[in-house]
Amino acid sequence: MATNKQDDKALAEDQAFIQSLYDDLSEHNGDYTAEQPSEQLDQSILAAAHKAVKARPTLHIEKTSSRQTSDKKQELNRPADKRKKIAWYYPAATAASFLLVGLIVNHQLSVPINPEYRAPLVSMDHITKAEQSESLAAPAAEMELDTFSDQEVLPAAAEQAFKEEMLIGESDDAFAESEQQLTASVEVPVSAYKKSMKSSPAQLQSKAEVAGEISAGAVLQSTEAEFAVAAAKPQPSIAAEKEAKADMLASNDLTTEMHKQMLAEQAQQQRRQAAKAKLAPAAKDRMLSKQTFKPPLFPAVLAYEEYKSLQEQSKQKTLYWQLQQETDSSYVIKLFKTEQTSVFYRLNKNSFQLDISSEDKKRPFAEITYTAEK
Amino acid sequence: MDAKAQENISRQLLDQTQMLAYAQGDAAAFDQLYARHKTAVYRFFIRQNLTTAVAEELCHDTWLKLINNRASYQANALFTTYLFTIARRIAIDHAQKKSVLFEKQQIEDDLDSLDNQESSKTQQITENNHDPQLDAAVNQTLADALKQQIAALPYEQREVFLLKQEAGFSIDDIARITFQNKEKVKSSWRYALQKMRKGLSFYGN
Repeated sequence: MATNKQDDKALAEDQAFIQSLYDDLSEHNGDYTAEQPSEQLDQSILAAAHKAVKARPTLHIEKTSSRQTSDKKQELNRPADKRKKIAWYYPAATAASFLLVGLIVNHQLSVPINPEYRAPLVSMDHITKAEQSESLAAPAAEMELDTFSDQEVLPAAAEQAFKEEMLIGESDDAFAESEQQLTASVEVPVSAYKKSMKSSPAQLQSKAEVAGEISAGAVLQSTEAEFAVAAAKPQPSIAAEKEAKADMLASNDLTTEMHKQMLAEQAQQQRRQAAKAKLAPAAKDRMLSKQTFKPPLFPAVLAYEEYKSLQEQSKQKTLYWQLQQETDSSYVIKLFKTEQTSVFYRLNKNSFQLDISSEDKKRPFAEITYTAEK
Repeated sequence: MDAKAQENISRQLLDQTQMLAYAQGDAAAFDQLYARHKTAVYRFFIRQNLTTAVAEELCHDTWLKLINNRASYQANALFTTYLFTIARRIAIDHAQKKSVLFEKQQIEDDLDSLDNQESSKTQQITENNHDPQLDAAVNQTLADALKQQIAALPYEQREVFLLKQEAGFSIDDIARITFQNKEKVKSSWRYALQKMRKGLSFYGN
C-alpha cells in the first residue's frame, strides 16, 4: 500500500512537472504550441470532404440487375453503327474449328485400327499343329475327370442337361460338314477363353456326347444312342461357340449360387467320363478312318529297287493298283498294299509301261513293266 | 462535476452530432469538426519523430479515411476516440513500412549532442538573467528538448504520452483507442513521465 502511494505521488509529481513545462511553452506562445497543419493540407482535406458528400449517390449506389437490363436495352436500341461491333473473324474461327474437328474424326475413322496387322497365312505347320492338337485332345479330356456322388449333383445337373440338350439340337444340322475342314483349321488370334473352348475337336465331341447322354439318359436308351452318333460327327467351330455360349449362360444364371454351379460342373464331368467309356471304341475307329482317308500330298517316285520288291510281294500276294493321274512325263498310281492301306507312287513314263485302258478298275501290280530294263 | 468536465461532455456530444450530420451529407459539419481537431491530429503525427511532409501526408490519410468511412460511424463511440484510432492505425502502418530502429538510435545520438548544447545555452541564460531576447531562446530550446524527449520514448510510451498529454484523452479512452489493458496504459504513462522528467529535469530547476 505504501509503495502504491509513493508511486502515485511520484506520478503526480512527474505529471505536474511536465504540465508546468507545457504551460510555460503555451504562455510564451512558442513554436511548440503554434504547430499547425499547412493551409494546403486543410484545403485538400476539406475539398475531399465536400466532394465526397456531393458525389454520394454515385459512390454508394451499386448497379442493380434492373439497371443492367436497361443498359442492355439501350445498347440494342442504338443505331447499328454505334453498337459494339462484333469482329467478323469470330464466326469464321468457330466454323473453322468445327470443320477441323470433323476432318480429324473422319480421318481417324477411315484409317484401319491396326495398320501393322497381317492375316496369318495357311502353311503346313498350321496343319500339322492342328492334327497334333486333335490327337492330344482325348487324353487331356480324360485327365479332367473326377468322381462325385449322384445325390450331390442331381438338382443342378437337370438344369445343365436341359440347356445342353437345347444347344446340341440346334447344331445338329450343321454337323454334316466334311472332316477335312477340321484338319485345315488355321490358328487365328482369339481370346484365351475361346481358344480353350475350340482347342480340341475330340473334346468337343465328348462334350456333345455327354450332352446327348444327359438329354436322353433319364428318358430313353434308344435316344441316347442316336444322339451319340449324331454328336460323333465333328463340327468344331459351331459346336465350340455354342458350347461356350451355353457355359456362359449357365455361369450367368448361377453366379449368385456358386456352390450350385460347382456341383453342376462336377456332375458334367462325371457324365462325360461315363459317356467316354461307352463311346471309346467308336472314337478309335474314327481316328483310324481319318488316317486312311488322308490324301497323298507328295507321291513318292517308284524306284527300280522298290519296283522289284513290290513285284516279289505281288507274287506272294497279289497287289492291285489304280491309276489316279496322268501327266506328260509320269503316272500317279494308287497301290493297295492291304484293304485298308494304300500308297501313292509316281511312275516315270520312260521307265514304266502301264495299261491305262480302264482307269477305274484295279489291276494287278504284275502288269506294270519296267521298260528301261529292255 | 466541474465545469471542465461538463465542457468536455458537451464537446463530445457536439462532435458526435456533427459527424452524424456529415454522414447524412452536411459538409459544413465536417468543416467545424476539422477545425477543432486538426491540430491534435497533426501534433500526434509530428511528435512521432516524423518530418513535416510525412506528418501532413499521414494526417491527410487519416482524414480521408474518416471521410470515406463516415457511413460506418456509430454514435455509441466518442468521435475523438474514433478519429485517433484511425490515426494510430495509420501511424503504425507507416512505422511498419520503414525501419524505426535506425532513427531511434540516431535520435539518442542527437539527444546527447543537444544536451551539451542546451547546458551551455542555459548556463549563458542563467548568467544573463531576465533578458527578453533570451526568454524566447529559452522557450525555443525547451520546445526542441521536449520534442526530442518525446521522440526518444519507446513507441508505446510515446503513443500514450501524446494521447494523454497532447490530445487530452483519459487513461480509459487511451485503452479504448489502443485496444490495450487499462493497467498497461497506466504503466506506459508512468514510465513515459519518468523518462521525460529525467530528460527535462534541468528546465525544472
